[in-house]
Amino acid sequence: MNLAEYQTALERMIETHNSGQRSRLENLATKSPEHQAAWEDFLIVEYTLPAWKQDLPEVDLVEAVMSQLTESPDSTLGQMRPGGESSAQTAPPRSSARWFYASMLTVAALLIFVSLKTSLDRSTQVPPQTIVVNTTVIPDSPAISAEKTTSNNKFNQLLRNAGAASWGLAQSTAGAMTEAVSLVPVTHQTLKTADTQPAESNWVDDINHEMQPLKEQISHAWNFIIHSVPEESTRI
Amino acid sequence: MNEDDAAQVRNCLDGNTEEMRAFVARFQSSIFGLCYRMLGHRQDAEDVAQEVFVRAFRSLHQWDPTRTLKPWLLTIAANRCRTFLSKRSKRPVSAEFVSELAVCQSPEQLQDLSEELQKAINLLREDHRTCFILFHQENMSCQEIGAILERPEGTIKTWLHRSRQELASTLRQRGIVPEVRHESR
Repeated sequence: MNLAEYQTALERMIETHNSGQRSRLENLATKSPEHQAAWEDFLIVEYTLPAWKQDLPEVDLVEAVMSQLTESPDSTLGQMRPGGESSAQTAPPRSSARWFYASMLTVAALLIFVSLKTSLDRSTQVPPQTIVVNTTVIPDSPAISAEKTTSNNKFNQLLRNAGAASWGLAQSTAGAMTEAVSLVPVTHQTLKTADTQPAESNWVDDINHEMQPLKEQISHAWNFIIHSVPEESTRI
Repeated sequence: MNEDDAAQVRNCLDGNTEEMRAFVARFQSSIFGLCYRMLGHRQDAEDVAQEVFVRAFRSLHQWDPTRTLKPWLLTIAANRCRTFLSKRSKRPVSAEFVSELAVCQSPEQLQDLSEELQKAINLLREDHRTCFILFHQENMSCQEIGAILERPEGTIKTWLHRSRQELASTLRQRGIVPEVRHESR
């Protein structure tokens, strides 16, 4: 048995707590100084372990823990109980969480509506007006006219960018809202600790967890519109 | 699912104080043992163990009945010890701890094998230490330790092997070897 095989056998004996191979491995330890060192490493720890295991001080934490629990009944015992007072205590955060997410969805919807409306209005009305103004007011100055035409083209490009960005935002948010619709039923049905507590005890945590994709979608959409529209568009 | 665990948890969640006492009494040895071995300081270990139980009661409703209760508690304990060690490393070392470290450097004064091993354990890397304690003190399998520390079983085996190697090396340096050599021959 070479050294690698010897070490593997030694480790297996330790991991399985099976000392059936012990005498065989002890005999093989004389095969080489490396085998001997590996065996001694094993023996050194084994030699000290029994004393170490027995040397654990006795402790009684029952009273200390119970007094900690009763000292702060509102924060510990109350939270443990899934029904009764604890439900009343946890109701406000749940309610506020619902309001928070509802208002977030409303804001997202309003943002889509305003973005779409603005981009549609501008893309249908503004470009013709600007072109007319350019051609009628300064017809006799080709240099300025060319400059303004360039400016108008730039402006039109900005509007097209804004339109595309709004569309992207609408798509992303629509996807996110579709996901959000399925949030609450899914979490209520998949509670793991249903037999130890009522169904709603973990509602806020589950909602927070499930809302993560929605937050990411909104963030993604927002980043998209920010990066899609050049800085000049802020002058619109 | 362990029916005894589930029943005890249900009773605790119902606010049955006798069951809560029984819960603490049932697991305090394992939890305190891990904390004591990890922190190397009795008072710190008691404080952290109490905190573990308080946290466990607070989040008992989140316990997954498909898991055994003890590994779940040991996971909390391992995490609290890690947090405590992280905080302790940032603050000045207490006088009591300094004296312990000072003793550690004078091998002539130390004869107790248990103390020798514990001092060597204190020098291990934190995750190696947790692994070693759970394996040798709690008699947990590598698979169970992997579930607690959220690491693959292979990683646990490696950590266990390295921790034993380091301990042997430290103990050898502290003069344990000749005695063992004498016995092994």
